Amino acid sequence: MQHLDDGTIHAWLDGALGTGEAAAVEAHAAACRDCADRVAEARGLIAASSRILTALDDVPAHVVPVERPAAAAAAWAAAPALAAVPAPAAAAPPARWGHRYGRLAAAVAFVLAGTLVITREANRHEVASRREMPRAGNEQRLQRHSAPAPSNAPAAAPQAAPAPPAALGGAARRAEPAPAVKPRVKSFAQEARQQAAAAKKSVAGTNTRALGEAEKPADTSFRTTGVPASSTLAGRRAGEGKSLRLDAVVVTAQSTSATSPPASPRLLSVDSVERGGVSVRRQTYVLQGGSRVVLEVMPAPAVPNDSVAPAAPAAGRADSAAAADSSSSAIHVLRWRGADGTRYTLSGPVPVDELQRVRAALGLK
Amino acid sequence: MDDAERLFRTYHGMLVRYLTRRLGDHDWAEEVAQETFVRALRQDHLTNERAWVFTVANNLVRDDARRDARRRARLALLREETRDDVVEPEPLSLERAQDAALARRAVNALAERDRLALLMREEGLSYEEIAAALHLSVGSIGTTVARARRRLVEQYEALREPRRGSTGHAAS
Repeated sequence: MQHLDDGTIHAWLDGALGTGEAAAVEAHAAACRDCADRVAEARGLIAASSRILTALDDVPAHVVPVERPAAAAAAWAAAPALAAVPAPAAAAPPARWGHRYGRLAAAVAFVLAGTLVITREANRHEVASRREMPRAGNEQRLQRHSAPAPSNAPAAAPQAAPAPPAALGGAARRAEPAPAVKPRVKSFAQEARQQAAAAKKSVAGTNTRALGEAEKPADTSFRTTGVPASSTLAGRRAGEGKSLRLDAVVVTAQSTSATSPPASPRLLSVDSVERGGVSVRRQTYVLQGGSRVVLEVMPAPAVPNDSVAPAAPAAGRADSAAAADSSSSAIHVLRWRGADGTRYTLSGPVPVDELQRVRAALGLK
Repeated sequence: MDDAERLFRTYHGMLVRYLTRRLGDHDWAEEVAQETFVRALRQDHLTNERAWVFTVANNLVRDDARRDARRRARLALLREETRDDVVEPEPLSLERAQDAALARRAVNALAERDRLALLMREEGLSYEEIAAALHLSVGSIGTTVARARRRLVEQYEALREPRRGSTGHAAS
């Protein structure tokens, strides 16, 4: 028999070959070291691609990577704005609110003005960002999607389903506080090599061993890849020409002192929403009462007039406020347009006057 | 349990996941899935059921893409505004968002046929069903899926590489 080609190996591992052909492939792989290596590599690729695709299930709606030109990235690398972001509250004495507010505004301006690139860099402590713990809902969703896909392949065939326990373990680990996690990165190539090495040790065993068993150790190390708690914002990747946008979670003021006014909002997360080609920046704030409000910023130049019809009612008016519901948990929306044409939408389950206070606290005109 | 319910229960989950992975938009995926089942109900008899469902969904996505994009953008905006959870977006986990973004880029880098074959295989479709849905020969599916997997992993690795280099954490 000739050596096995990739298509045949994957078809065999996917249980797509007939009994006779499958037996021939198995026999060949058991006898041929080269082909056994390739079978092991294919197993690694199957497991790795499944894992990559699983990441797509958990993506927040509309989050898409955006590439930006090197020039813009370089500008950010040089930006001195990092110093304007408040240090963690634990390290600083409680500041007067006005002072804090100024810094917060600066931080917000920093976030608003452009793109954040986040990297890990131990020697820059100006900005501390706290990772947001995935909520229970996320965990559940992850579990659901981690379940092996239903398959109608013959039960005797080697299966490529992801191993749920390892995946769940990964999710749990990612929910742990970050400092304990020493980031380790293991490439899929290494994973495949490991499996190839394992295959060499037991060529015959490789063919019948369950895939899930084989990949668990590699999975563990891959999932521990973490972002340390002291992630800093910087333009480290500026020189690379392109980079990811919007992956930043920024927490500025950690706690508010007794002098803080009731509406001082804490920035929880920043992301972008792609709507019909228009990138809308979305910032989530937590109010002191625990309510969350969302500020959406749609830059004027990027908005073709005819593509934002739903927002049109706000145009031509300085302000508009609406209640989506008359119940006590009603969601109120405040819309206005900045002097430069930027459109703002502030919404949350709080009264409109509270939204107005938030707006004022954020320094938005 | 009537035929419609059985069809829905059997295929809805996998179809929505497939479409979400493909489109990167859960709402859009739900819409396409709904329309797929509506069309399935109009059929008297379905042979090769699962392949049929995925074929129709693929066609709907293609037609959708041809449609006026502005109309869809408007609907999306309206939907966002009327949805209750608009005020409570899931706090983004940086790491997860980055994983997902890299995965999205890696998947998008695949050739269309490779991508669809791999995504359908991930939903458990047999090579025969994939061949039927993509109008390919069964014999070519192994090669197609193998190529898709290798490229996906290579792309993902290549995208991860700069990140890893910039963080100073060497592979262990």
